[in-house]
Amino acid sequence: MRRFFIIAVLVIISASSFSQNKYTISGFVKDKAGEELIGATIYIRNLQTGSVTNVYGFYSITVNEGNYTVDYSYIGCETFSKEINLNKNHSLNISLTETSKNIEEVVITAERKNENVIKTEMSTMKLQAKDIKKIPALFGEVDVIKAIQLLPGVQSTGEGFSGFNVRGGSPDQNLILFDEATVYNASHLMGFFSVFNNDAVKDLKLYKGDIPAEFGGRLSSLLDIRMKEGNQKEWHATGGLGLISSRLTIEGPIIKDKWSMLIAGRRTYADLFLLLSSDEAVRSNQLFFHDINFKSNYKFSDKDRIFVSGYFGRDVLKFGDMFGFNWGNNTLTTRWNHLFTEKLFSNFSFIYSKYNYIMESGTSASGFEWTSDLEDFKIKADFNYYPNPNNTIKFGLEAIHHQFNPGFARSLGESSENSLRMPKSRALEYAIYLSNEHKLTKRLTANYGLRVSAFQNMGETTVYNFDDSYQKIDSTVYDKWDIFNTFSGLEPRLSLNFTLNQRSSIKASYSRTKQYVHLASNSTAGSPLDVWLPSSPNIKPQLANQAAIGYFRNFLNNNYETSVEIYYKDMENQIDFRDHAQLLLNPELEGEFRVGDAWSYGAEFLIRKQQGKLTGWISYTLSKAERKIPEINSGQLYSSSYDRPHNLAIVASLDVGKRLNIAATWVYATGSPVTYPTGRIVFENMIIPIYSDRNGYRMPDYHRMDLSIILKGKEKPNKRLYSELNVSIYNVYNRHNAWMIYFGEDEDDPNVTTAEKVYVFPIIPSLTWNFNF
Amino acid sequence: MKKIIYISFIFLVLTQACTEPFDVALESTHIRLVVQGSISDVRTAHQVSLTKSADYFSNAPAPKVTGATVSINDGENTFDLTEISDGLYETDTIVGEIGKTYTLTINSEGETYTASSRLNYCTPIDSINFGFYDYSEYYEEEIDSSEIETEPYLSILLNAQEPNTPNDFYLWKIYKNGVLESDTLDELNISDDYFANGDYLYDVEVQWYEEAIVGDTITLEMQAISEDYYNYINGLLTETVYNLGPLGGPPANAVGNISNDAMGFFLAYSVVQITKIVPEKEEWIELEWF
Repeated sequence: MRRFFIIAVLVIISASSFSQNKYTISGFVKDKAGEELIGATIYIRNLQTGSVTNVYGFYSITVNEGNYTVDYSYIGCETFSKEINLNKNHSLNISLTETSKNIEEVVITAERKNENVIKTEMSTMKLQAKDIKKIPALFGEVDVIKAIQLLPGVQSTGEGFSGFNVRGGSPDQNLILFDEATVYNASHLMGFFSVFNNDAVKDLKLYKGDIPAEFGGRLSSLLDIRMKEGNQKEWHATGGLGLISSRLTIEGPIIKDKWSMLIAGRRTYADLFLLLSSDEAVRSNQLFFHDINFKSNYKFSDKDRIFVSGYFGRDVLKFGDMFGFNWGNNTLTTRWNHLFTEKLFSNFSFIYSKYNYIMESGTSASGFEWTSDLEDFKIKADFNYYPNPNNTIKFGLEAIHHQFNPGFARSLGESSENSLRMPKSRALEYAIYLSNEHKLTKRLTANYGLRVSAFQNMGETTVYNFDDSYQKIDSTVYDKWDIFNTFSGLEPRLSLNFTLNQRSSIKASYSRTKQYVHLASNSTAGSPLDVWLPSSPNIKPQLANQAAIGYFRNFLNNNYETSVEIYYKDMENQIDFRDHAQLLLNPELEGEFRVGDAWSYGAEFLIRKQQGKLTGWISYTLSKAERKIPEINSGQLYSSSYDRPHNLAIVASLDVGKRLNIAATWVYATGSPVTYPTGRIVFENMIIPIYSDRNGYRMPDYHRMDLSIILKGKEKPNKRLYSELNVSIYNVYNRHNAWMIYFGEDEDDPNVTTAEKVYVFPIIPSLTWNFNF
Repeated sequence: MKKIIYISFIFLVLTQACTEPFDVALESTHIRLVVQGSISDVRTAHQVSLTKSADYFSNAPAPKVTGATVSINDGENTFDLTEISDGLYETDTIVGEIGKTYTLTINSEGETYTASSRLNYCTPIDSINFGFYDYSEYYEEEIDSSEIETEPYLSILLNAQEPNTPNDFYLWKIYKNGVLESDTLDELNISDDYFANGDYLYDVEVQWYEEAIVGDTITLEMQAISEDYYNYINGLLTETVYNLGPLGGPPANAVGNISNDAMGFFLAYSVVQITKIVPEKEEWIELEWF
């Protein structure tokens, strides 16, 4: 706590500058549809200083009285310059127009395109929905998470899966926020697609290490996805017909420039083909997902705005009347933006988030039902204070109420009363934070902050007590509202930028993160049967310390951004499970946990080009991720399942003329560590494998190339309907990448054992038609 | 429960997954003794089979271990087993008693191996019935329905009182006309009493048989097994029949109860049996799915 006050004092001192005739320029930066731009740059030429817009598109700069030229710029938009005679506070809402497609090459002034070099932030990467759209996609389903997997330091959890690992962290260590609401399971269809409908996404930012003090609760990364606000000027519909799914997004103003809304829906229809079958049994099977994104925002004045956004997604799997399984996330975010003064921006949020699944089988007379859910209520207050161009102070607090129902199974029959319930439990998670982005000298900028987090387990619940060999001794029952266990911790965050010149800088960062909720899953692939558990007397919070240093350099008039980062991450209380752990419907689940240490380190290289006809990036990561857990692998260290030493991704998109875009990606990764049999025994007339040390082998190397061609319809001034055809080919050279290696007995000769490679996706062409009017 | 997950998994992944042979060089591992032995409360020959482990791609029957000295101790007396064929050791001078702990001792190639197991009580079987599932809606109409009827998939339904003591574990096998049909690991069915402790088991499906014909004599054998053995069999099944690949947990060796780094299991168990002739199909009970 003392450290918190020291930082608080530091912040106050740095904020209280000697103000004499200082005025503030503030406002919102938007695109021409009225969509707020996140991270747009505001640059005062005369002073060579500036600011960037926050996640709500708000900016504020306070400088001395005078005449200034202010440049507003944003990637893909034309820079807008304005002369300001600053003798009073100015409220300036700016809308930027997209770079005209007629301009052959970008010719606008590129002075402030070195944002990546001069800001303190490192280990982050930002992607815009329109860039993600150009990346070739599996079955033509544009997927934000698949795009994330192409970034340095990020691994896919497996072929086609939308889970990801960041810098040697496990998939449950990623905090995925969709309009600030936690998304606990980001996958559809057993992980082959992510829950995010790209048409409803504005942009996303991935933080791999240098997570701002504002956020916490996960060890390895923050994926901050922001939904579009909805067009403020006119009504539009965007949609697409694909092989797997169709989408439709409608957005527009209910009251122009005041009240806008957006609604986006998506549904897969592979199962609709089943209806064509002559067989009734086949017709009654279902396998689909759908999701709906909704957002509306109302502007009371320049000072007050309210946003309501929600996500409702569901996957359904059904075999006739016999078996039904559905799962999904629901989130609801309500926010109120309020401007106390030109310098103090605030946001108050109320957030609801739920993940659940229901499995039913049989009839009501004889069958069973299995449910599991996790529900969060979160309140949050965030403040951004802009005292002067050298300091941007952020502070706030949040509180979350978690409710865990990890599993409840019961038989539906009248005769039987059998049921199995994993203890329900509740928990409270709080945090307060304070951070300051502080320009110390002309060359040195620091962003320092502290987050203080706490976690409390709350009744009513039953906690099982275990002995040293993880055998249950007894259990303790806690009453409702009974707070029986508290964890807390300090999470300092620091990043530094030393600008060498306008084109290059050195950055360093250190962060500590804590995680109080844990995913009980030992599969490398994702599964909808996720069980999240709170930290408890039996499970300590996970803790990570990460340090990184990087060199950033731009070339050729900031057209090429390059960076090298080296990181080391040390993680404590990392979770694994005993051999053959029973993770589902096990009331004594905590007894299956085995904890130990993990660490990872690596170097990440990136070259990126964001402007011009040819855009894209090349990312290469050299890394190592290992763990050591006393009860696993006889206490010997072993490679994490997501240790992929070499990982290369090339993403390129080329505009050929005005109507044709060709894009290609190529990925290469070392095969993931895997446990193979080295010996065998015969027991009960069956060959039983004897396994090597944990993860003692590697799968074959993974590589794949995807291609896509987008053919755009002709643009005419009076034409409203605008459409494009997207042909994409997944796995162009049809590599049979191993999804798993299956060892088993030969069918003909029971003495012979064989190994078989199972691969999931051969070459897959697909066609999508997208429209917009 | 596992079965359901397994079915969903197959439906989703294997419908589009393809396989091809895979060539992989695997290291050798050190050779270990493998024990499969048991003693029951039935007056019969109790056998212990000794083999050796081999490299995974050895592609030959498991090497038998001959010339070992094998004995079972019941806490008071020691009974020696004699080698009746290569690697197979036997005694018929001992009958297991409920509540006693039996210790197996093996001396082979200069090493000593031991294992102990307690013989638990098994609840009696009151009766069995036969059941079947109606698959007809899962066949295309063109398939001749008579063809299906000739290969009924027979379910054996148990009626018995489960004792009101937690942590009872069972294993079921079937014999057709006196011949053991559940003779491989994947044909064994095991269960704990987590969902059924103290309940009356009323027509609970405990075994299956694919090729039963009306008039066959079916014997159901129910064994009360130890918790360790239950976990061992579960572990073996997880690594073979229910191998879920990346969707399951990491592979691991099931831990038996033999000392000195040997593999396998020595089990003491009690047995109850019941025999019934497969009646006309009209008397089979149609079972509901799940």
